[in-house]
Amino acid sequence: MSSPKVIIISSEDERFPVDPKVAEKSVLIKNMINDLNPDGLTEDFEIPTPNVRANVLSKVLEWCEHHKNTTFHEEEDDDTKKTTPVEEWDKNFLKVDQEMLYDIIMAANYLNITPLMISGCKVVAEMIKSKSPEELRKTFNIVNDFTPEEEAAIRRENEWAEDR
Amino acid sequence: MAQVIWNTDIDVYNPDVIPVLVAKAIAGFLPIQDLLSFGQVSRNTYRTVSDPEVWVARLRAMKVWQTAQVPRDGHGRPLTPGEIHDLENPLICVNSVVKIPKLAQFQLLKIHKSLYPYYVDLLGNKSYDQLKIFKDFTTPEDQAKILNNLIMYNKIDYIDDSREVIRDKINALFEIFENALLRELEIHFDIQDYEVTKRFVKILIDLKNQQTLIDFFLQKSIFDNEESELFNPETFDASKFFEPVGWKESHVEDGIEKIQLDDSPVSEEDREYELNEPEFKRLIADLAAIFNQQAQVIDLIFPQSVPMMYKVCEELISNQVKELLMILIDASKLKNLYLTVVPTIYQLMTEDFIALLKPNENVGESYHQLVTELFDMLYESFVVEHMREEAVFFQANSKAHILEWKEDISKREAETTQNILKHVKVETKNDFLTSFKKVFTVNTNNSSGKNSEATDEKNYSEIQAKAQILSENIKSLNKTLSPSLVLETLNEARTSLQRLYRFKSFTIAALKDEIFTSMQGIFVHVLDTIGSEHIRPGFERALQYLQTYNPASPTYTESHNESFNEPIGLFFELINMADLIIQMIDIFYKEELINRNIFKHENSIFNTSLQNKKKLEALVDKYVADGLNVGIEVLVNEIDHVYKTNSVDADYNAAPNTALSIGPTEAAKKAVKILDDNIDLLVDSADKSIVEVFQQEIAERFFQIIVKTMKNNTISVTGATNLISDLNLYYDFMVAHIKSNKRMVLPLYQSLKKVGNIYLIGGTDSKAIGKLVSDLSKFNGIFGQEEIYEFVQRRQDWPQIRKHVEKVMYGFGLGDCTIV
Repeated sequence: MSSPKVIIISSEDERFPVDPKVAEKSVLIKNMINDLNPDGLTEDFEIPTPNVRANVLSKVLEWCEHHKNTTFHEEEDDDTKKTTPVEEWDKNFLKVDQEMLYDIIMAANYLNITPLMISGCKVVAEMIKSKSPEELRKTFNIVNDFTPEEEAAIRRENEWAEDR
Repeated sequence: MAQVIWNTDIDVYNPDVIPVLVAKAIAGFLPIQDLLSFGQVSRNTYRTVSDPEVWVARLRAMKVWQTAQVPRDGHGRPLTPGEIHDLENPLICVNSVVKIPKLAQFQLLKIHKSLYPYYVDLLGNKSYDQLKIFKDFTTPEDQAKILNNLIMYNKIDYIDDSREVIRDKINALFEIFENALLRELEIHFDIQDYEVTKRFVKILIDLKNQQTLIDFFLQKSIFDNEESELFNPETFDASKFFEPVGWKESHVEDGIEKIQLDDSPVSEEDREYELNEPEFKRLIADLAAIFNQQAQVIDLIFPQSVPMMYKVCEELISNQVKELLMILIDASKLKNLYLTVVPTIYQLMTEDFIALLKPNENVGESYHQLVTELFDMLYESFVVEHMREEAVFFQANSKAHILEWKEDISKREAETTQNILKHVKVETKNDFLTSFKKVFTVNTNNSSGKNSEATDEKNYSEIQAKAQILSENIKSLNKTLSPSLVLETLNEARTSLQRLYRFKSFTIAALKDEIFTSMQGIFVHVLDTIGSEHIRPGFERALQYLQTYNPASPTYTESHNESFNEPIGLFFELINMADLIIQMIDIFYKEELINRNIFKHENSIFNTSLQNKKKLEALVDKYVADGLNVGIEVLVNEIDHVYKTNSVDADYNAAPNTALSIGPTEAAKKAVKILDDNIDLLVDSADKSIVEVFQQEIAERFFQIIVKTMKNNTISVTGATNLISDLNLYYDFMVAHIKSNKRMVLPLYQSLKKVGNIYLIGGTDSKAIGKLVSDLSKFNGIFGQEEIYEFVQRRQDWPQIRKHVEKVMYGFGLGDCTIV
């Protein structure tokens, strides 16, 4: 008999059987397995993720599969996390449309896969850097919901600091 | 795509909207300028960017939030104008943060505004002297500060490209800047302008360059001075620390000169040396001067935060001083002063030297303790070697002395023997019998024998010679032990122990324990040597002499008028000596070991010193007991001999009507005289218990002799008076002399007196005799019926009265006895 699998079920009830090692990149899944099977898995273990669509889940699991042997240093301080550039594989992996990028970030957030979440956030942050508010609204398709007075007040507030 | 990506409500999951948590995570990766732009996009982005946590995280990354001052007047207050002013000062902005999360954004932006112009200025390709930081800030103190602040600001530069470049640039600037500072420092240090030196030291400390400073100072003050006279092995003259005994330093016109007091020429090898103490004192003073000099400069230059004096002490002691002492100690070996020099130097360094050290602020109160510990570390190996050498030296030396003495004794004995044998007439083997006979004829009235002795007094026969040798040996009984030799050995041990004890305060506990163990080792060795090489052979020899002593030998008693108590008295003297030795050792043990607290557990069975001391005491006790046995044996033989040579037969078996000689017999008087001479020998000189045992043993053995004498003689009714006189004499003697153990001794003599009555009763009254015998055997615990019967048989008239007496004795039935 092959070793037990973790079967992750998408919002559309699509089943994704993976090795526990891959699934446990998600701290959420890892804790769930450990809490319900303190002596280790003896049979297949099903986990429904009704928030995650199949196409996103498949992408997230691709990341998990790739990183199944990577050790992430949880103890690294904020400073290091913030200043370390996104690694090349992740950068390419996250070259997706915005919607998919958000979905991946949110799935990573929901499944508690911190390194993937950080990579995703950094990619978004890169997209934000060096853009004016108007450019940002265009890039991210955000509606300006300030009143003109509010907008003027905020600009004044920031003016003194914004001298590049 | 969502219209609004920032969703504040994460409880309601909307796949089209990004939760605030994720939004904040993204904001966390944005540089300040982008954060501000982003905040202007929409209400939700504004809310995200305005979250204090986004800004506190940055202040934390700069490590200023952790050290920020906590406001005393609540977290909600606005900043004071003074606080705002400080935040606008590029030099102190990072030190002026107040821990109010709501104001984190405001404060960080202030810091950003203060530092960013200098920070971004570094990105260009300006030459160093054109940089804003060097244009705006001219003192090295300010330059150090701004560089420090910019490296802090670098932590929140989230633009990958500029962050790396600027960090490298700042670090390069630091290096250049520090080198410049060090150059200035060196220039001012060299001209001994310590005030300016101190200023540069402070800047370098602010830049976290303690190690560089320590290296600099060690190099300047120690390594560059290695060629100084004191620390230069080439010029250091160790020989002046030792001077030949008999030479004295004298001051002459052109300085100090050595003059020889004793002008007898001594070869180099035989010359004895002693420490040149003034030279040692001078060395200690020189060393202290070096330390004090360093300490003074350090206090002028360094704050306490740099452990400079510690480093200097460490360097000086573990290298320079160590090397110097090594040369000195090596030299002492050649002068045969090694054992003295090692502890002397230790004492000089840990006491005299330390007393000469002036207080130093940099190292503070612990200065002396520190120097002691460092010195102990350096000296550890010396002490270990010294400890070993001390033990080896002591063992060899003390043993040699004792063996030498033992050999002297043997030699003396051999010489005496030789001297006596020299006088033995050269006789052929055939003549031996003649000479043998002569021994026996000497005391007869053979005139020729007398003549030959008179004419040639010094000529002995072989047997006479042997007797003479024995006699000489006996005379030297009390010379087989030597308390003064033991005292000498103990004094040598004391010297060794005192040398070791100088390390008593050693700060390395393990070594201190080892020193104490080693001291115990020497003591145990003393005990061992004294026991096995002195006390044991001494007593063995004495016992051998004592055993060969035979007063019954004609050559003895007659040709050399010794009284018996001479050898036994000499032996007791020996016992006293042994006792003295034991006492000396006991005092030594208490003074040199116990009083110095070198035992962890004095009464533990692991205290080998105590165990060995007890062993030695037991050895002496054993020999004393052996000696007493031999002594008693000799005494008993002597008394026995008296009865053999002085027949009591005539007195005890006097015919009826012979004139009664009143009082005890000659033999009894002689025997009692011998007893009298010897029974109190031990009183006041030996342990009370030994005296008691000795006296009791003599009393019992004497009792047996009397019994034997009575059983060997025939006693008449007339003679019975003499016998009873004797028995009374014995009894009175015992009453007078036996002080303790009376219950054991007196009944013996009492019952003898009773037994004497058996002979007083006239032969006609056989019934009375029978009854007495019967009573005696029943009520006297000392003699059994058989023995009483034996006694009665010694009656002169026994054959005549036997029938009647036996009838009375055995005719008594059990019933009769109860009536009586």
